[in-house]
Amino acid sequence: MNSGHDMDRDLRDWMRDDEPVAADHVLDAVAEQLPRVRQRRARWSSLQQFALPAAASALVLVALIAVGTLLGQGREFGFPGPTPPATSTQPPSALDAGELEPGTYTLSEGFPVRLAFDVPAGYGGCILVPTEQGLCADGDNRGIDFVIVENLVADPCDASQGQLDPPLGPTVDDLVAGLERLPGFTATSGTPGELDGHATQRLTLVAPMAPDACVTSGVQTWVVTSGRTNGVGLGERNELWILEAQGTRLMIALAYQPGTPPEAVRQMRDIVESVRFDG
Amino acid sequence: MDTELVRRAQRGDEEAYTLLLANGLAERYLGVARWILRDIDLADDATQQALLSIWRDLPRLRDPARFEAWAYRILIRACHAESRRRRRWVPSLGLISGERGTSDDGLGWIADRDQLESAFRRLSFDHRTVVVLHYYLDLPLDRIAELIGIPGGTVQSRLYYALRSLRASLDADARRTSREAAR
Repeated sequence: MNSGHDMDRDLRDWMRDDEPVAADHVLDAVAEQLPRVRQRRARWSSLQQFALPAAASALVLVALIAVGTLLGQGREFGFPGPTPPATSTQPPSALDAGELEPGTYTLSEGFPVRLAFDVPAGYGGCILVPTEQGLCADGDNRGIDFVIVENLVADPCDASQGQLDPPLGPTVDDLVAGLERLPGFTATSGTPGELDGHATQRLTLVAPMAPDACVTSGVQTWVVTSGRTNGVGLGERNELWILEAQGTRLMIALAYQPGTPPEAVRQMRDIVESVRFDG
Repeated sequence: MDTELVRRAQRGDEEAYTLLLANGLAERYLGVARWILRDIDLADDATQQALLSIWRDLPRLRDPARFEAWAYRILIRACHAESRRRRRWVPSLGLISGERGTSDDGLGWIADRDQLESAFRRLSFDHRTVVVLHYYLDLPLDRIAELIGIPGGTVQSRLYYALRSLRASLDADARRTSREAAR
């Protein structure tokens, strides 16, 4: 293959030659689980359903207020004055894998730190294991992970080297120091900050760009308490918030690629800054 | 796409949803997932996860006629989640090995496809996604933009950079091969 070939034609031919994929095994697995998956109620149809009665109630209320005002003229009693607009009391929803409506979310069951955060449109829930949950952006390889880190890999470019031994210590500073020394990565020094009243250490890690050896095995970083080892794309940036909350060391990782637009990064930072800890 | 089946599935009709999937949808989604992830096991997991998420969120789809674009977005997100999971593994048994077939071109054809496969794997997730939607599903760029919810210009630039990157990888491979042949 050389650049004299027509890339359009080569790709089209290559992909068109693909054998049809038999999906029976996937269909069987889905059919088996389907009865246990509860469908989410449509919020828009609930609104439509209640739109008419709500409009009728509003008309009745307006009429009552008018009558009350008329009857109450010159008296000290009558209808009370206008009440202040109700503040949003909608409880946060638990994060779930799949498309998310804009709103406030908590992490789903199994995550040891109770927190809530605001999610704008264009994000979905990505839950890999209970101790690693977060958001994936629509159509982009970027997202935010809430993660409990147990250890770091010994060599990001060589999975066979396993984890750090002796393992990482338990404090925020231990993790920051370990990340700053991650071989092959460029890391800023940890700088102190604050997130919802909690002291944090912030740093940015930039993955190496194109070491051939890493192309096949990937570039790895940290090990989550479940035993899952995280990996990053070549050149991927991770902005990290590391803190102690509710007795647990928490890391929030905002991951994006070299070409991610700055406004998308700012929006993800806003999501992180919206975090509220419960207790 | 049978919108009546989509409507029935939105009302909780499991049989309608299973029919919808069996009418080629599951195969198409699995094919896309395999091309994007280049790993059979991860593609199975991503497709399964996506099909269950689609079922769960179906009542929230306002316009059944837009089912396909909406569902592809969920599939791509599931692939994205699986691609992050992939990095913990050294690719081994589950790898798709270049979809080799028979060809009149013989060994040269296979070598070409192997090089293309290797260059394709080096693309980022976002670039692979656009290439697969454009060349595998034959979707025009404006439809891809609608489908994955990014501006048309971004799709165009991703495709441009993906093709440039593929050419660069293939050129590098070709140079390496000629150097080795000259020794």
